[in-house]
Amino acid sequence: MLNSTSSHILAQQFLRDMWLSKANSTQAADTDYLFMFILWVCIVSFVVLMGAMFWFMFKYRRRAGVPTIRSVSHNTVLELGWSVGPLLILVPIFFWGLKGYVSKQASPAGVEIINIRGYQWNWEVRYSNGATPKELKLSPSGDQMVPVIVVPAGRPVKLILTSNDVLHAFYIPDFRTKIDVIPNRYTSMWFKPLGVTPTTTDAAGKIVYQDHQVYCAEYCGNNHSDMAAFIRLVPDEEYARLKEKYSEFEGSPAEIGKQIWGQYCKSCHTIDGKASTGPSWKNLYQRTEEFADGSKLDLTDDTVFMNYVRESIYFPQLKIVKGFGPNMNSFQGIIKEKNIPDIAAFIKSVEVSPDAPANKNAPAGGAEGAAEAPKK
Amino acid sequence: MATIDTHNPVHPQPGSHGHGHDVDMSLPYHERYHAAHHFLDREHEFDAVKMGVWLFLSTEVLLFSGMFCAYAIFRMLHPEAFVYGAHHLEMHWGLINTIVLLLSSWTVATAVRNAQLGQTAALRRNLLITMFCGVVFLLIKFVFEYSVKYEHGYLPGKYYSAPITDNPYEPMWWAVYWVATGIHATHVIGGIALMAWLWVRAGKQHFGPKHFTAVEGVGLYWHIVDIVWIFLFPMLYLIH
Amino acid sequence: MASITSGQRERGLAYGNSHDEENYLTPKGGMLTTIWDWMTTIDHKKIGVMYLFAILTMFFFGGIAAIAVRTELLTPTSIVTEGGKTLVKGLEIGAVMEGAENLTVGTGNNWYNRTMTLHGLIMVFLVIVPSVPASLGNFLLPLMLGAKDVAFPRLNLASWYVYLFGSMFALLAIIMGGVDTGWTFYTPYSTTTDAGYLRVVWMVLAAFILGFSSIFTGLNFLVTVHKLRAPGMGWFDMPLFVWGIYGAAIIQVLATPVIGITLLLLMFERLFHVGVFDPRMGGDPVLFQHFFWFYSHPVVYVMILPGMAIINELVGVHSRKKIFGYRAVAFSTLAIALISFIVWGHHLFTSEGEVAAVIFSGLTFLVAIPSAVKVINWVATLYKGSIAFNTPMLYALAFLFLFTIGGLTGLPLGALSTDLHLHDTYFVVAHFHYVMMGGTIIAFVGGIHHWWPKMFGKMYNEFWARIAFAFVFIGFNLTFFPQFIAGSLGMPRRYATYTDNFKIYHHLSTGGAYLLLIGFLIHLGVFIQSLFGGKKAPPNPWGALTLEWTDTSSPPIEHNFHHEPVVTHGPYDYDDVIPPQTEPGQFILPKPAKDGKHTH
Ligand code: HEA
Ligand code: HEA
Ligand code: CUA
Ligand SMILES: [Cu+2]
Repeated sequence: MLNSTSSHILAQQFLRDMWLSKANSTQAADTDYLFMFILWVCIVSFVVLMGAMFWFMFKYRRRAGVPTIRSVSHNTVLELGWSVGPLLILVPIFFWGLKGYVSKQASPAGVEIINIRGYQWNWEVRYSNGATPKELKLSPSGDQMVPVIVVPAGRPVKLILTSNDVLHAFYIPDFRTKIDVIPNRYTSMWFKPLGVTPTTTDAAGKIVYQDHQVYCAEYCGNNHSDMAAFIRLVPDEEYARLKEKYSEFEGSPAEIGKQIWGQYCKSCHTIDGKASTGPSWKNLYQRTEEFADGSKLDLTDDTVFMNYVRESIYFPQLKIVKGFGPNMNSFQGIIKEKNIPDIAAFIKSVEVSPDAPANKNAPAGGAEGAAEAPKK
Repeated sequence: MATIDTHNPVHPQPGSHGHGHDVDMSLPYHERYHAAHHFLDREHEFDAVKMGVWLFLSTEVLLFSGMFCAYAIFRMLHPEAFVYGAHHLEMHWGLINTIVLLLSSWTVATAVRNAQLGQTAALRRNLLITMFCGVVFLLIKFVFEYSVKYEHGYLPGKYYSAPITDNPYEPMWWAVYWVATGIHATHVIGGIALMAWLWVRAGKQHFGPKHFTAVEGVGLYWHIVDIVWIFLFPMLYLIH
Repeated sequence: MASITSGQRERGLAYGNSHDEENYLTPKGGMLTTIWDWMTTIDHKKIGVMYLFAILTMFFFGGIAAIAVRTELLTPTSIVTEGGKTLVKGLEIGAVMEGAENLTVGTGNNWYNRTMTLHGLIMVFLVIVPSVPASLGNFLLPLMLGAKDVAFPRLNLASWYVYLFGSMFALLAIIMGGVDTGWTFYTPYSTTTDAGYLRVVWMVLAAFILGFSSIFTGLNFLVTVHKLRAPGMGWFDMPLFVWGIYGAAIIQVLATPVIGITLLLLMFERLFHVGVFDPRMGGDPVLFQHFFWFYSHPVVYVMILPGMAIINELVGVHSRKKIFGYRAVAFSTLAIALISFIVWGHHLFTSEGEVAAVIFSGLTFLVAIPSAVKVINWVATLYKGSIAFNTPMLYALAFLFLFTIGGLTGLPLGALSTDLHLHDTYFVVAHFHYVMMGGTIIAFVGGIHHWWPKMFGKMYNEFWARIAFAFVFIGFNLTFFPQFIAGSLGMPRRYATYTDNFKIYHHLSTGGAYLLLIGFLIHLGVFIQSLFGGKKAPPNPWGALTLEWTDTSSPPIEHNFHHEPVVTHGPYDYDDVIPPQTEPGQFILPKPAKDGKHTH
C-alpha cells in the first residue's frame, strides 16, 4: 500500500520534472498544481477514451463472414452523461485558473517596484533609486549583452513595464507568468520569490548563479529571440547593497556628470545649444539667465552657479527660465547631493567641449538659435 | 419534377430542348423564363436567390458594424478629437445627402413594385431617378466635401497637413471619417453600376410579375447602403 | 426507416456496371477545348477538383517552408542562414523592382522570421481555411443532397477565381521578399516593419481578397443546404458531413466580413499612417488584436468543423454503423459554430483587462463541451461495428487520437493562470498543430482517400497508402509532441534561436518533420500512380449509404444523377439496408441483437 502511494508520488514527481522547470515564486507553485491537475485530467480522459477506441478496434474488426450485431445508436442518458461529465471537470479548472490569475494581478502592499522598458531588442531596467543593473550576460545567440536584474528574494516585487517601439512581452518561465509590454501604456506583473537563486561554484571557486531566464514572448522582429534578460534573487540586504552600488558612478567629476546627464537629463536638456523641453546646457555657466517672472541671475560666480544647479535639480519650480514651461520634476532622492558638483563640472565642460563653437557667446544659429533666444 | 434532364444550360435556350413543356418564343423573356437547371422552378430559384441576397447583406452589415465598433472605441479614447473634427464637417451637405438617399430609397422601392406589376416603363424611369440620386450624392460628396477637405489638408494620418490646433488626435478622426465614408461611397458606386445593369435588362423585357428576382435583390442592397448612411450621418455630422 | 426497394437496387447495379459511359471528366474535345471547358466550368465537381489540386499544391509549398523552419531549428545556431541568404538573393530581384537599395532580408533571424510567417500564412489562408469546404465540400455537397449543383454555380466559379486572384497577391508579396509579421499581423510591428515597401500591403490585400472567396463559398453552401435537398430529405436525414460544412459556412459568412474591415484598416494604416492601431498616434494595438481574433478564433472552427464533417462519414462507413447520437452530433456542430463567436479573448489573456479575460476563459471551457460530445460519440459509434482498416479509416482513427490530444491541451490554455505561463510558447504551437494538422489535415487526407474513387473513378494502392499513413502518424507525433514539453518548460515561439536546454526537443521535432515529408511524398506517389494506372473503381467500393455512393457512378456523370434521387433511408442505416451498387452478397445485414430487442 505504502509502496504504491510512494510510487504514485514518484510518477507525479517524474511527470512534473519532465514538464515544468523548478518554480521559484509563490504563484508559480500554485500554477504548477493546476497545470499538473489538468495534465492528469487530460491523461485520464485520453487513456479512457483511447482505451475504449483501441478495444473496439480490436474486438470489432471486420472479419470475413462474421456479421455484425444490431446495436443501439442513441442513448439519451449516456449522451447527457458525457456532456455534463466533462463540464463538471471543467468548472473547477476554470475557478482554479481564475484564482491563480487574480493572485497574479493584484500586488500586495510594500512591493519593491522596478521599472522596465522594452525596445528592439533589449530591456532597460531602472530601480526605484534610478540605478540600472551593471551586470550583463550574453544573450542566447551570444550576439549581445543583456541585463541581469537583481531582485530581493524576501519581498514581493512588482515590475512596471512599457515599450519604446513595438509590442514585447516579459516572460519569466520559472515564475510561470508573462505580461505584454505595450508602447504608450504601462502594464505590470508582480511575484513573491520563494527563495534565493541557487548557486554553484565553478572550478576556480567562483560563485556561479543559476539565474532565471527572461524571454521576450511577443514577436517583435529580427532579434526577438535574442531579447533576453536574467533575474537573480538575492537576500534583501544584498539587494539593498547592490541597488546602492549600481547608483554609484565612476570617473572624473565631469565624466560622472556626463553619465548622470545621459541617464536623467538628456531627454530634456541638450548640450549643443538646441532648445528642448528645457534650456540647453551649452554656455549655461557664466551666462545671465532670465526668468519667467522677469528677474535675472548672473551665473559667472562659481558659488552662485553651483547653488543654481542644485536648486534647479531639487526644486525646479522655484525658477522657471523664460520661454519654458514648469515641466521638470524634482530629482530629490534620485540624484545624490554628492553628485551635484559632478554635474556642475560637466556643465562647465560642455562649453569648452570640442564640438561646441569657439566663440562662447555666439548664437547657436538658425531656427534653434532663435528658439533659444528668450533665455539669454 | 419527374423528368430527367440530360443537358441543360443555366439559361435554357427556349425551344432547343424542353423541360417537358414547349416554350413560346413570342412571349416576353420574363414570361418564358425558366429557372436554372438545378432548380425545380422559378419560385424555387427565387427563394434561393433571395436567401443568398439576405446572407450577402448580412455580411455587409457585419462589415460596417466592424467600422462602427472602431468608431465607438476611438471616440471613447479621444472624445475631444472627434468633437473638434466634427466641427469641420458641414452639416447641411450631410443633411442634403441624407434626403437624396432617402428619396432614392423610395424610388427603388417603387421600382421593385413596378417590376412585380410588369410596368417596364415606370421601372426604368424609377431606376434612372435612383441612379441620378446616387450620382448627386457622390457629386456632393466629392465636389463639396472631399475636395474641400483635401485642399485644407484634412487627410488621414501622415497626409494630414492642416494645422493641428485643437487636438493632437484630430488626424485620427479624419482617418475614421475617410475610411467610413470612403467604403460607403464605394458601395454607392457599386449600387449605381448594378442599377445600370438592371436598366439595360429592363429594356429587354427581362422583368415582369413572374421574374423580378434581380430587381428585388438590388433594391435590398440599395436600402442597406441607405441605412448605413443613416447611421453615418449622425455619427459623423451630428454628435458634437 | 423504410428499406431500399429492390427496384432501386437493380437500377443502381444496372448503371453501376457500365464504366465506359461519359462522366464529368470526359474531355469535351481537343486539348484547348478541354482547358477552356475547365476554366469556364460551373460544374461544382470540376471546381472542387481544381480547388483540390490548388490546395494540395499550396500545402506542398507551406510544407516546404515548414521543413525549412524545422531545419533551421535543428540547432540553436543558424544553419540555414547561409543557404537562406542565397535564396534571399534570388528574392531580392523582386525587391529591386520596388527600388530597394539595401534590404534588411540579409540577416539569419530575419530570414527565419520570413519563412516562419510564410509557412503560417500559406497554411492558414491558402490551405486550411478553403481546404475541405472548397474541394471536398464543393464536390460532395450537391451529391449528398441529391442536387444537380450548388445554388449559385457562377458564384462558385467566381469564388475559385477570387481564390486564384488572392493567391497571386500573396505570391507577389513573396516574390518581393516576403513579410516578417507573423501570421497574426500584430500592430504596430506589422505597420512599421519593412518601412517603404509594399509587401505587407500585398500580403494583407491577399488575405482580404481570399476572405471574399471564403464568403462566396460559405454563402453558396448555406443556400444549397437550405434549398436544394432532395425530396424526402429532412434536416435530420442529411449526412453529417453536410451538417459540418453547414456549420462552417455559417462562421465563414458571419466572421469573415469583420476580418475584411480589419485588414482594410490595416492597409490604410500602412499606406497612410492613419494611426488607428498605432499607440504613438493615439491608436490602440490591443484593439487590432480584438478585431483580428474576433475573426480568427471562429475561423479555427471553420477549419475543424469540415474536418469533423469528414470523420462522420469515415467512421460511419468503415465501421458500418449508424453514427451514435446523430442529433447530438448535429446540434453540437451548431453549438460550436455559435459559441465560437464569443471566446476570441482567450488569445489576449496577457494583454487584456481582467474582467474580459475571466469571461473569455469561462466561455472557452464551454466551447470544449460540444467538441467532447462529438469525439466521444464517434468512439461510441465503433462499439459493435464492423471495422475495416482501410486508409480512410486509419486516418479517421488517427484523427480521434490526435484531435483528442490537441483539444485537451486547449484546456491549460483556456485556464487563466496556466495560460499566463503557456501563452506564446511552443505549447501553443503544439496545440494548434495537433488540432489543425492532426485534426483537419489528417481528416482531409483521409477524406481524399475515401472519395478518391468517386472523384477520379480509380482505386488507389491500399498497401502503399497504409505505409504512408504510418510515416505520417509517427512523424507527426514525433514532430509535435516534444513541442508540448519544450513549451511548458518555457520555450517561446517565433524564435530563430534558442537556449541549450531545449536542444533535445528540437532535435526530435526536426526528425519527425522529415518523416512527415517522406510520408506525404509517398501519398503523392500513390495518388499519381492511381490517376494513371489505378484499378477502375466501382460506384460504391466502401458500401456506403449516402447518395453520392448509391445513386451516382464513379466518377459521376456531368449532371450527377441518372435519376432524380429519392431518399428512402437514413444516411447510416446499415442495420436495415444493403448498400445498393455493391456486389450481391458483399454485405450482410446484421443479426438481431441477442435479446431480440429492436433498437433505435
Ligand atoms: C483547428 C483549429 C483549432 C481548434 C479546433 C482549437 C480548439 C481549441 N482551442 Fe485552440 N488554437 C488554434 C486552433 C484551434 N484550437 C490556433 C491556430 C491557436 C493559436 C493561434 C496563434 O496564436 O497563432 C490556438 C490557440 C488557443 C488558445 C490561446 C493560447 C495562447 O495563445 O495563449 C486557447 C486558449 O484558450 C485555445 C483553446 C482551445 C480550446 C479550449 C479548444 C477546444 O475547442 C477543444 C475542444 C476539444 C476537446 C476538449 C477534446 C475532445 C474531448 C474529449 C476527449 C473528452 C474529454 C474532455 C474533457 C474532460 C474536457 N486555443
Ligand atoms: C494547417 C496549418 C498548418 C500545418 C498543416 C502546419 C504544418 C507544419 N508546421 Fe506549422 N504553423 C502553422 C500552421 C500549420 N503548420 C501556423 C499557423 C503557424 C504559426 C505561424 C506564426 O507564428 O505566425 C505555424 C508555425 C510552425 C512552427 C513554429 C514556428 C515558430 O514559432 O517559430 C513550426 C516549428 O516547428 C511549424 C512546423 C510545422 C511542420 C513541421 C509541419 C508539417 O506538418 C508539414 C508537413 C507537410 C509537408 C512536409 C508537405 C508535404 C506535401 C506534399 C508532398 C504534397 C502532397 C500532399 C498530399 C498528397 C497530401 N509550424
Ligand atoms: Cu521583444 Cu520579442
Ligand atoms: Cu481561439
